[in-house]
Amino acid sequence: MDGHRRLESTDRPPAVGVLFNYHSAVVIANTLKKLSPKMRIELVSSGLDLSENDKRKLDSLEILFTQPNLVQSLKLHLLPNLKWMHCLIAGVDLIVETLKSEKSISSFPVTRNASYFDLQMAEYVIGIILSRERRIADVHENQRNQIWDQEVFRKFRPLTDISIGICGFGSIGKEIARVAKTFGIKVYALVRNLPTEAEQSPTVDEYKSIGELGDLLSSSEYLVSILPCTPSTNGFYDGDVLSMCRRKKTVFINIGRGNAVSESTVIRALNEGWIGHAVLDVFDKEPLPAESPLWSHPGVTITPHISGTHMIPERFVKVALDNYNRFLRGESLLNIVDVNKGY
Amino acid sequence: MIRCVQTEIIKRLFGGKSVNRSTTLKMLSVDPSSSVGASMRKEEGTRPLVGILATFVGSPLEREIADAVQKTRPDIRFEVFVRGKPTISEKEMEDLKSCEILIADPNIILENNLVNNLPNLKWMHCLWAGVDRFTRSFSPSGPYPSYLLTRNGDFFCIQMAEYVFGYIIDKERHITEMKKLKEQSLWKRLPYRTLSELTLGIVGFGDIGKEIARVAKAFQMNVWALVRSFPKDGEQGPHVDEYRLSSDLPELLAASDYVVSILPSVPSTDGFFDGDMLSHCSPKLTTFMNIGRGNVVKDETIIAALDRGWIGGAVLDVFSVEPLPDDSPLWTHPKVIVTPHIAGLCISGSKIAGDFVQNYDRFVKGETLPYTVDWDKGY
Repeated sequence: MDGHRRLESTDRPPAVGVLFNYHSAVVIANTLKKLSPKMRIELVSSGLDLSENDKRKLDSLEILFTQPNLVQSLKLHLLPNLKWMHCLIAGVDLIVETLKSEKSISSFPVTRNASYFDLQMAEYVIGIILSRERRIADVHENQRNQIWDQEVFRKFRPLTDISIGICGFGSIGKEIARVAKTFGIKVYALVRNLPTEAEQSPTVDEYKSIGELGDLLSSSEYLVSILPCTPSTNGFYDGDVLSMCRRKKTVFINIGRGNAVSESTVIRALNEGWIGHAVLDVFDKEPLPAESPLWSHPGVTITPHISGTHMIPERFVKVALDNYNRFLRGESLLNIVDVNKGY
Repeated sequence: MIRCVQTEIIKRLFGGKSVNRSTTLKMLSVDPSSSVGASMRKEEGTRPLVGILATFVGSPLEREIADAVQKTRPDIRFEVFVRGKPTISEKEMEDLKSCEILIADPNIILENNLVNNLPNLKWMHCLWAGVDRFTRSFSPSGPYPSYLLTRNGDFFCIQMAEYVFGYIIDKERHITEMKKLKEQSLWKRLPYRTLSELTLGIVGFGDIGKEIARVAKAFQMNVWALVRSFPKDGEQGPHVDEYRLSSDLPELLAASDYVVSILPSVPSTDGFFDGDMLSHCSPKLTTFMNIGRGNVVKDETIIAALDRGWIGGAVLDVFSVEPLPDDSPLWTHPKVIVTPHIAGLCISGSKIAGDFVQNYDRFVKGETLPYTVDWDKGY
């Protein structure tokens, strides 16, 4: 269901609306103009109070580059001529809800900026692992106290001795696997469908299906969840699931979405000794409210949803530009979101 | 220098009885006209006398190595086991002197004046990568020991890379700072850069340097390497974007967001970064990392470079004097990270065993051994 049309030679290329946080929107628009001088770009206000002029702009837009949370506040019926929406971020759960609820008018393809965030999220994960395994916090503590103590650091485990379980094996998960393999970490990947031998990636040691989640949990020193937010991932780790981490006192890292595990589950898993530590970058509510018990629990590391938020402008718009050219040529688009699957 | 705390001395019990030199020492006769390491003809029923001189506290590393070797090669027998600290007894000295092959910490050999006192030794295999104290103890023109010395060249590579990237990512992604923010229940997003936007300059491009370059490329970093001579066409590694010679160090420093020194300690690297050299780092406020040896830069140079705004930070694992003296200003400078020579400290008995066995087979065949120390070069 591509729904786009070939560009007639007499047509002006369709204008591209950019609806994004203001400062970034300007950077994005300027970058697009620089890389594609003929592109017509309309900056769209994210405010709820739209002027008549804004409404006119929206009315004629066929292409929109945006971020999901801003689409919520903008009724899709203001975009009757939309032929293609591109999300400039990777996580599309908020748009999917909106699209499903406005099904009658959302018959255009939605694509997302998958692949752009992969490496910086893999960097984050490896950084967390290295920081723990090399006990960087303890090193700093010793320095503060001017203690030279080698013995306490002699027995670190090289990364070649540990395993990582990756739950959610899309482009981000694959990149994490690649970087993990660079350090010789053993990689388990949780997948919905086990790949054929030809499809298997050389960076994965063992693929596990959902039914084998227990195996994966009990074999991994580190568990990274990049599960998207969909009805089927709600509470994915709740209940007693994390008790299967007991064997290795797995360190649980969540960089996907907060719906996958509740706060109380994390705290219980820590207190019961199922998991050794929790590193959480995503939460049900963000910013994490001050009253959340996660702030004061010593077994929790909190990062404010920053595993993948850095914009390198020219790279950031690459998928958008590729798709724009494909759109004009009537070719199929990259990274199409399956609204039913939710990602 | 690795500082060790030892409390016991272990002797191997051979067949339940205590070691009796006259029955258990098996000496291999060696053709006196053959050059060192050229060949050790295995006469029937005899084997070279192999010993281990190790220094680890807690885990009996010497046992680990011997067991690991014996698993696959029962023909290689270890007759002598000596713990090098706090002292070596007279009896143990005699045992060591009887060895023809020795796996050892060369610093302990040095400390016990055994360097030129191992008359039967044909080959010493060192547990570590760095042998500088040993090699710098000789006068430049010799005389050098008559035995071969090989060092543990490649095992530490990935560990050193783990250290380097651990500190780089910790700094760039504010991992330590975020811990502090959590303590204050503060949700605050700190802007960051990705490694793919940064340049890493590697000074000292042996196997450790190459491994660091490999990992840097996995993060899509831009990689510069300082080399003694440009690689020939076709020999350029896939992980280096720019090679430079020592005379181009200023250019490399100016280009690098991070510089890692893995230079060995030899006379030509003394003070390599001293004087005004680090002023070339100012364009990018380079972070200077040293995991090689402390002779390349004085403490005062680092402090001055930081205070003058030449470098943006320092991550130092090695120092001119170790342990770092209490009064060194490096301990307390806010932009200096002091780590107690731990970048490549993890040791695996089975890995050493594997390397040793490979070398052993080459040795008895008279082949050259990898990582043989060149006495002239000093490493």
